[in-house]
Amino acid sequence: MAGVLENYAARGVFRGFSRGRASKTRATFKMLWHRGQTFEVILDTRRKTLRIPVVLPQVSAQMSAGLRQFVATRRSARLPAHRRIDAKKAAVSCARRGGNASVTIEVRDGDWEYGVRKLIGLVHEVYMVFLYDGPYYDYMVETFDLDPDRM
Amino acid sequence: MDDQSKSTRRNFLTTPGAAAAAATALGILHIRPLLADTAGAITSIRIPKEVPATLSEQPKPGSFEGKGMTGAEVFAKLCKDEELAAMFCCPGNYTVINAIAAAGIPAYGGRTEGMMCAAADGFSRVTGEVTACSGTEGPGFTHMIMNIAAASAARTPLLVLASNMQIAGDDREAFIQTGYQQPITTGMKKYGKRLIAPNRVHEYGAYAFRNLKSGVPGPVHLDFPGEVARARFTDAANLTDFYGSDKYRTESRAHPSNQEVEKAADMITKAERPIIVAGQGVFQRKAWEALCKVAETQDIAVVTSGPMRGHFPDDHRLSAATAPDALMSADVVIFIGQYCMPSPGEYRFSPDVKTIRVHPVQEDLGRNWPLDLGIVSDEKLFLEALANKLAAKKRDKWVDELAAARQAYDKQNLDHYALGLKHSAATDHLHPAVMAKEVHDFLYKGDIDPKQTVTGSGGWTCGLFTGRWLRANRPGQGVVCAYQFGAIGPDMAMMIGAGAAVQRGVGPQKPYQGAPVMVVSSDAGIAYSMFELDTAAKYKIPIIAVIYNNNSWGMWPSALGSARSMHMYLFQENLRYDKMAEGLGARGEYVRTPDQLRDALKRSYQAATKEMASTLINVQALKEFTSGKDYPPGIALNPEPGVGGFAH
Repeated sequence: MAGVLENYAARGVFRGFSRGRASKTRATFKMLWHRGQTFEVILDTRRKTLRIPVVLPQVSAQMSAGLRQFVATRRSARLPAHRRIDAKKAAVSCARRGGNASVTIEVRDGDWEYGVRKLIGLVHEVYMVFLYDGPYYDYMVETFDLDPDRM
Repeated sequence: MDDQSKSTRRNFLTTPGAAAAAATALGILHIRPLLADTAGAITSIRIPKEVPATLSEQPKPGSFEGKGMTGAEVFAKLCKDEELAAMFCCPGNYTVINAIAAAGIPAYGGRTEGMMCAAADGFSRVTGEVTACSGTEGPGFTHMIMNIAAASAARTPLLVLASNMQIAGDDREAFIQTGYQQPITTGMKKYGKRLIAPNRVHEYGAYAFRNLKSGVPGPVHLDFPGEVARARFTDAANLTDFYGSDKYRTESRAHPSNQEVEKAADMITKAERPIIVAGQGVFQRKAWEALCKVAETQDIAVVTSGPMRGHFPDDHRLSAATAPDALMSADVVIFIGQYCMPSPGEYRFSPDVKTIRVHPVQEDLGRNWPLDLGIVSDEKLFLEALANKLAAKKRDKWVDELAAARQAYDKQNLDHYALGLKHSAATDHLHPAVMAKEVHDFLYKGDIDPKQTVTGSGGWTCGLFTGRWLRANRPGQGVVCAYQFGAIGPDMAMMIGAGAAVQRGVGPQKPYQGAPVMVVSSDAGIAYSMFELDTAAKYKIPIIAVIYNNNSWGMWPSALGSARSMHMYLFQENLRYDKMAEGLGARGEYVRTPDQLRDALKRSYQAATKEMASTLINVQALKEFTSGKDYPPGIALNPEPGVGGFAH
């Protein structure tokens, strides 16, 4: 799994990458990624999960609901198969804790590479599609401290 | 015209009117109106008879005979030989601009140097040709800066010319307008030179065109001290390197190796959902037919990028320009001629996408976006080689996905339109989504050939909506006025320059020669370029300017919650830009409803077509439409690459 993440870093998807602490059942990784933020990925082999605790910071309940709806569309049969998260291979969920939106992928068939790729793809789409296509312009300006001229 | 009736500097200055004007300029006395017919009624706006008269004069290039050629004439001859497509200027740098006009190069004089620079940029953007702008030393030159920077960001082959006092006066602040120009354009030019040796004027002209016509284009800035512009040459032997372009530059281009083309073809053939990002280089190299052949051979999706649009038609079944949902599905992306390179995360592609990049200059490959395959090549040569290498292949599922994505995008835009209609009805002001849709329907769904009208757009709130609805269905049909540099304001001047190219039928504009052009911009933007309506009228370049008037800078929400700030973002409400346009010799229209806009567009297009008259349509809106909370969707951000893109 680390290799897959490192490969993304080598291909310029992340601007920065490092491995954090690791134990027999748990490992963490940090990536400098969208909007110059650092994202943490937590691998838990006991629970068979990959989790990013803060995908979007400081989201409202309404925005969190919108994100849940968006994540649900990533599992939908209406999405082309190559874009879809296959429920037989992985379960995806999102939650709002302390105002932050998290995303968790549970790997169901032991294919960790699939899980990692889908997690990274999903977060990428949250930033590139969900935020762009939804009514989140003000959120982006305020949360990421953007100059509104630079989106 | 006989010599006696010709207006010369000498006989102009001896006329009573000129003497009085000169006296007024010096603050000596106030004079009464000189024209007899102004004693009673106010006279109409009219084009001076000297305008058509001097435009119809035969070229009179300089010659080594008699008094010889000035340095300016030597330079003008080189510009003519290099087929400089047009020059836009304000008076100043007199020796040079007069020589260029006299040489027979189409020349236009306007109201501000900055906007003439934008017009030159616009002419070049819709033709791919080299154009020039010029201004006087000091104020005229520095006025051009914003638009030189915009041209630099757009990689426009723009020749920036300016006079610059005399070398003899360097460092003495002699009289006025002293300034060092070249340091000011650092970072926004490909090449620049203050000419200091009169006998090297041709040599440095060659430097300029070698840079303008080779590799990745960009602005070239030459400043002419008086000693160079006014030097006299009676013999070619007195000029250094005085030979033709076949000696001082080459048309040879980088060709891809067979191995590289094979590798690219292999990656593309193995891919399920390949996409080409056809950048500016495809347009500059006029490679659109080769591009189309490659795309159709293997059902490869294409999306254009860059400061001009249309080198792959938006209405083609393989176009992804209006299919943002499909971008993330691409498994191989081939960047061709993408001069301004985004970083991953700025374009809506998957993190897993493989990348091929084709670029004419080696040192840019790998910048910003890591590559799986980088190829140094001229864009056209690569596409032709690839077309020969690719075996035919159908990708029906990919084509279907593109079509579904286009439908989804259309639906999203129509949802915005429906909301806009509701907001328009509730407020009796026109929402930008409605304005953009009405313009779209008028240009592409009515009686006008959808390939005919060259359009450009700018502004923030209105630009984001308009970008979604304007289409480019043939090369050179669309200009992304704010491309990369994000200048708000040059839009209309840029499109007047584009209009001059259409008027002359240059390059890809030939089939639509004489058609009107359209710009959709904002009240903030029009303040910069409004006076160029006078220029459009003077040269009978028909432009329809649709101006979204929301009484503010589009960024007004940035003042919310900040004490004593909002006043800085607002204008007087309900300003009548249509009336101002009438005062400049154009037509004015004022609209607040979709029906009114529809009718105004018809009248404006008719006037543009039949009378070569320009129109400004003042679309009265409300600033609050920018608010997503009160008037959803507020701002409609555009994914890139695609129709609304303007960053890369």
